[in-house]
Amino acid sequence: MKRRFFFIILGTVFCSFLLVPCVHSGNPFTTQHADKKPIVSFSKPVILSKVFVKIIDLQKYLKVHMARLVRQAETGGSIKPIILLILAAVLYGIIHAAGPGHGKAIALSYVLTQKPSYRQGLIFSNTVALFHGISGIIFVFFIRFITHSSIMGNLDQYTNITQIISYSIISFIGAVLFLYSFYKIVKKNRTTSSINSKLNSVVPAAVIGCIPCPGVIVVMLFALSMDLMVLSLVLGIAISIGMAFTVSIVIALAISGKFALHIANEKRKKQAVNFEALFELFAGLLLMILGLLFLGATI
Amino acid sequence: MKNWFCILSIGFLVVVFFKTESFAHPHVFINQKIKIVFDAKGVAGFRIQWEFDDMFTTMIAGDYDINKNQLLEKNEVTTIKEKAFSYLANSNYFTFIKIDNVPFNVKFVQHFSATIINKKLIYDFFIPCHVSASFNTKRIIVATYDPTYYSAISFAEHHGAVLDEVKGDIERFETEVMIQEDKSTKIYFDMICPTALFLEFRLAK
Repeated sequence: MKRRFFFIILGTVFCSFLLVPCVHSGNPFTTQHADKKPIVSFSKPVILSKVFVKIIDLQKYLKVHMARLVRQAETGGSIKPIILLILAAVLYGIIHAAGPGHGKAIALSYVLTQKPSYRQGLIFSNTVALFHGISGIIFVFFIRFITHSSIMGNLDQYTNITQIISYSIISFIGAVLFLYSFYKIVKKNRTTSSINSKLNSVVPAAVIGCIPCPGVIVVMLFALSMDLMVLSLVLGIAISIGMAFTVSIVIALAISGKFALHIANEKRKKQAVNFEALFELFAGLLLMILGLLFLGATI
Repeated sequence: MKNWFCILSIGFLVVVFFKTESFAHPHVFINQKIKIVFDAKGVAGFRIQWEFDDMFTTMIAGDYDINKNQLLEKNEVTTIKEKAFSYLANSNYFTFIKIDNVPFNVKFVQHFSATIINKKLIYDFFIPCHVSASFNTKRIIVATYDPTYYSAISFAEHHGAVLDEVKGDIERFETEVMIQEDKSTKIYFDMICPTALFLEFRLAK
């Protein structure tokens, strides 16, 4: 029974990967894209759609209020709008990262191939989210104060370059994980140790997160347009912290599930080791495929 | 039991997050107004007005309001049209029209203008779409959405859709206009039904 459950989940993961379509998600106003067919694939549960719509509404609401608070902060005289603004920015980061993207899927698949502790998982997820935000902050300051060039045109270009680098490395990591898992199975080295000790988890997390977050960039630019440089930086950091919170929850849940799986199969240790070896093999392969699919969509 | 709950929650999370990973969620929010323009024969087209959120306005103004005077001069509008609008031709200008359930492709637009009013960027353009009226009711659905969902478009609360006329006599026609979800169109993994303008019209008896 437990084994059946396990394979259902494994199958779900696999099917999810197969159904992932590849779409470049740049700004349609400033970038030429050949294919703009509506994204229509399969039916989502109604409740999920409603949750998603709520997330969007809340983001819109927060952006309107953040714009108002930035204007209040510009006029000065009170600390209140700044405090409210920072809180709104953290909340915006939490909500923003709850939507699609922000490296959650790749981070999940990476964690599923490993056996991180909660501490390691939190370091991993926070590194993903913080690098996602920080790369946005670096981009804004670099373009604004060093090159003095077009933000929007460069954002697409910069995103494209970082995506190519990031997805190439992700594919490589996937390939390494797959080959290592395959090697373990062939050599009958079915210990529960993973490749985690050999790969520093901060490095892949930084790679996954290095694609700049447009959400951070847009908010920072708005504050910078009023010459509020420090506030702009604070907002970028606040949004990144919010995003780190959301990604951390996702990763913590994934780790809990993995622990649960491990405990459930503890009595049948040999089978558990077999399952985990297969899981790592599949996850490595799928991580590589996902990286290649995204890379193909980006180039 | 707890263990299975954890495992199922992973499955759920994986499905939710993996499926939608590669897609943009809205970064641009647009308030829209549509004027339905009639001429002597019937519908002549739709005048679309998009009011962008403050933050997108700042991005566009930062790049294209060269003299930073919060006004868009003719040369700046030309640049905006070229660099921050014309690419939308690939996306039907985010305007998906059905005439009696037959799709109408928006191949070009006319009279594009960009202005900044009350610190909000406004795009204004006209989509020619001639549909002659007859004594039979004709139905037009104008659904506006960004297929990639980088932008979220919603109708303005007031005057989201109004009738207009060009050298015509609007009283020659019986019209009914509604703004509601277009349940026949689902985008973004079937999660969103875009809000659309539903127009029914015919010659008055």
